[in-house]
Amino acid sequence: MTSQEKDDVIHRVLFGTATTEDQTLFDLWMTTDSEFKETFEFRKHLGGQLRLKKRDELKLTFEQIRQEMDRGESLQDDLRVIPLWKRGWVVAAASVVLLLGVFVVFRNSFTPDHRASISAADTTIVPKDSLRLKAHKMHIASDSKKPDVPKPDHRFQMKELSLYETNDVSLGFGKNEKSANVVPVLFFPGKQWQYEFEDTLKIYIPKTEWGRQWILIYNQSEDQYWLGDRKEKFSVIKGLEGLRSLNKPIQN
Amino acid sequence: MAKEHWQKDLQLINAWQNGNERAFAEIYKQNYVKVKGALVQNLGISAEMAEEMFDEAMIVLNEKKRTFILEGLLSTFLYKIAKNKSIDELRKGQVKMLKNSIDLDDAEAEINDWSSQTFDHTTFAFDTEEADKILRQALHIMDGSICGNIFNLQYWGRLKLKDVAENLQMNESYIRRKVKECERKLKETVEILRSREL
Repeated sequence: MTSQEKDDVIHRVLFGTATTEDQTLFDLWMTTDSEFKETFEFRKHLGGQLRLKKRDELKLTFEQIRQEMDRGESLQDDLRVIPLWKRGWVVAAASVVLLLGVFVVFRNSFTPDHRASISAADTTIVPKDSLRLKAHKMHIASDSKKPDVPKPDHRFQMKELSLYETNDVSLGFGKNEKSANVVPVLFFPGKQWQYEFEDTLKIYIPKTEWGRQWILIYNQSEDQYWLGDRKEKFSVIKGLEGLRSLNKPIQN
Repeated sequence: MAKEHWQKDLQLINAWQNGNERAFAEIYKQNYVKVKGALVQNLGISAEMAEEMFDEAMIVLNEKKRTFILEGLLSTFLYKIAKNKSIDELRKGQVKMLKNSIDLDDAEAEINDWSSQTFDHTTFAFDTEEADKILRQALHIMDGSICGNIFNLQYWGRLKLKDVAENLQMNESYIRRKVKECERKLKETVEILRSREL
């Protein structure tokens, strides 16, 4: 049996998809192959702790979401339909439209040239405006019933930056490294060069800089990320709360 | 109407699967009241328990992030999971009460769920709570790195190495080698953290 096959058996046992044959082999190796046993025990423990860690993180996230909802961003509030007549701004807008309508009718009535050319279509000015107002109201009402679906935010742009991994600080932008992954990064317009790196990396730089050939480099030995291109690079630290300035790393 | 809801759910799921974490928060917000309310109403459980069970359903959804395919309404999916989890919990409570009444050890009454059955706290080099904490710290250090991503996909997303490779758009044999390397790094990090603790 190859190491690969042993790895696969461990995976199937850990995730409850082992066949009878897998189980027989597993039992055999657990008693005869100390390396296999050690690997299995390690992975079982690793998986258990990783899952606990992830659960804790998610529960914390849920708590934060609930707090957001309590602060007035709750679904109930989003879905509650306030009668149109109770909305002050709708009443104000309707009044303005009505006044405009009255003004137009009044003006048309006292414009000799226009009065001379009154047609059937012209006589419907008031009803048409009323209909328009009704349609406007209906539009507002149907919008208000929409649940909180995220609207596309045109202010930012998502780019998938190549992630390079290196253990060697001197390698700079990983010229000799192969991109290992891509990371979705959000670019927001900002005059000050800043970033926010929690779950997602958000970069706040002038729009004119968005098109540069940005990449991300992760330095394993220092547990440090860099955002860079061929010209310059900046340190980005994951997990710190709030906006941070994009600083150039201190050269050793 | 259901189709409209489904399309909205699909839009959120797609956004989330494409890396928009805010979409996951939106999924939570949009289903929280509905599912929690249905659990309280249909199962007669407390609001606190319903909330906990809804969280469990969201955890299951999160685990399935890479492989989840929306077939019906998201609220139905979440409700089904939360309902089954609630029933398990209620059964667990009943067994506990029964065992207590005949004066047996409480610990025996614990019915383990999938994760604790599969990943119990076995001894190895890590046999104390402190050692578990150190391992979690070491994993935390790896968050966001390629090793962290591989471990997450393997143990949280439950993907086979072949699928991990596909997900990361990398070669399978490279991932297999990388797993060994990452495990070695993790052990080294644990050792460093442990030596600092001493």
